[in-house]
Amino acid sequence: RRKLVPLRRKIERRERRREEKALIAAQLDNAIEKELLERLKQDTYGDIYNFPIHAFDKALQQQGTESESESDAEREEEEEEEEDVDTREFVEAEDSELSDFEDMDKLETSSEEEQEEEEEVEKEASHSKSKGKTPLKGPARRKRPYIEIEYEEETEPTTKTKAA
Amino acid sequence: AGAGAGAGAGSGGPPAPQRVLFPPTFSVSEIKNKQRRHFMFLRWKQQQRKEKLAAKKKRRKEREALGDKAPPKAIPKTIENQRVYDETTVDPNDEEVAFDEATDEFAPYFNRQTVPKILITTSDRPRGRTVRFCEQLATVIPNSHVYYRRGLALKRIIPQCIARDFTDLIVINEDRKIPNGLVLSHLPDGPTAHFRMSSVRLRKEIKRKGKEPTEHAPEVILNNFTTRLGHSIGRMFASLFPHDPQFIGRQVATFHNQRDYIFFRFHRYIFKSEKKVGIQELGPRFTLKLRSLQKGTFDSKFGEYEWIHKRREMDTSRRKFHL
Repeated sequence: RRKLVPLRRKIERRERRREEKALIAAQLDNAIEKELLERLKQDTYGDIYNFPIHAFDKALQQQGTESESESDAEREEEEEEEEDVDTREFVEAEDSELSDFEDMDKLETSSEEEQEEEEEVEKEASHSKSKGKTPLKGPARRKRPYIEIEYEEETEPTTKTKAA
Repeated sequence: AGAGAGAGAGSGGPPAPQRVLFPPTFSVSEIKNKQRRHFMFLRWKQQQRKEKLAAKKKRRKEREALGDKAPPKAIPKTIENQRVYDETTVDPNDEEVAFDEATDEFAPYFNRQTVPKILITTSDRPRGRTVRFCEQLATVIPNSHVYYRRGLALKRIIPQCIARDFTDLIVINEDRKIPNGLVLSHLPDGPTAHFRMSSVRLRKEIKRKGKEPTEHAPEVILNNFTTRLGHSIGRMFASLFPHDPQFIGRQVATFHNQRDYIFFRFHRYIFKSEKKVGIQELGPRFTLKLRSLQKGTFDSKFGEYEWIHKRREMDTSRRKFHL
């Protein structure tokens, strides 16, 4: 009823070997990873992942970058303790309070006990969008930190006791 | 006389001095005694390796000695480097190609007029492996349904599928209890591609510790489809998946073309940092090799073939590929 086409052994062997060689040459994992990173760079994922974007980093390097990445934020924040004043300018509308929390954290200590606060801050900050949008609103933002400082002071004694 | 001297030295025991062989005028194959011949050959091989190593070291020393003035390292020749240039390679800015792609059978998909709905079936009387493979494939491709074929002719299935709004038909052909062929047919009168499938790995055979693929729409990666033919095949694969991948799912289906073999993988990815991504393979994997591409829907006798793999003509050069 149906026509059967037999395989040819030589061809089968040749094809199998070629396939193996092609697989080795393909380096699939690397290719997939590269493609995914490319897509991340080209912003196809939008704002789901918040890593410090390189363009921003380079532009803000002198003034200090504000990083909101989920894993490395703590270490990077410790590095950038000096540049609080400038980083506050580059805060966007919604979550400036939280970034100010970050600033306050930088000012106080780099101890590990702060990490819980920082983590909570990061989680909320991770919902925020790209940075550097609101240089104009900088002066307006500065009023807020003073309010935040009060909150911070409430928690300070607890941390200080821990540190002690 | 030369052969006698060499043979005499060879029979003097395994740790013979190495200088004996140095400029011989005899070749190792002239010795009639197999054992001795083998022994001499091994020694000759050792000699070659030593010389090669010495040459390499010398070259490296010269490189270091020159320092900055050294010539740049030669790029090794690979098959991809030496590939015979195919005139149908698509240039990204080619207008004719863009126009063709805007008006071909996949235009409705790419213009978002149709939503992909796929029917997966097998050849007659599928065995366990094929059945499981079909099920797994159905989980990988969203909006797909598996139906078992019981002796129904494809020509009769196709009108029914069109009536029920299916956009694509996949038939997995089986031979000796393993799937070995795939027919992918775009339904409303679209092209039909016939592949040979090999190295099928079901999910339990893949070494990983991941869970099953979720229902989220995966992203699609199409690598290395350069020629016109490759482009149309790539679009065919792309039209199987829904337009908007759901990034929450973090799943990606990859069709990677390398030397005319299309490798399919299904992964879950996670971005550990900006420069590092981790992938974990879920999902089945298989490789495809295109056998023929037909203009209309599946019709083996009267169809108009756009491309058939002709072994005598196309497999002549090791560096010529068609996809």
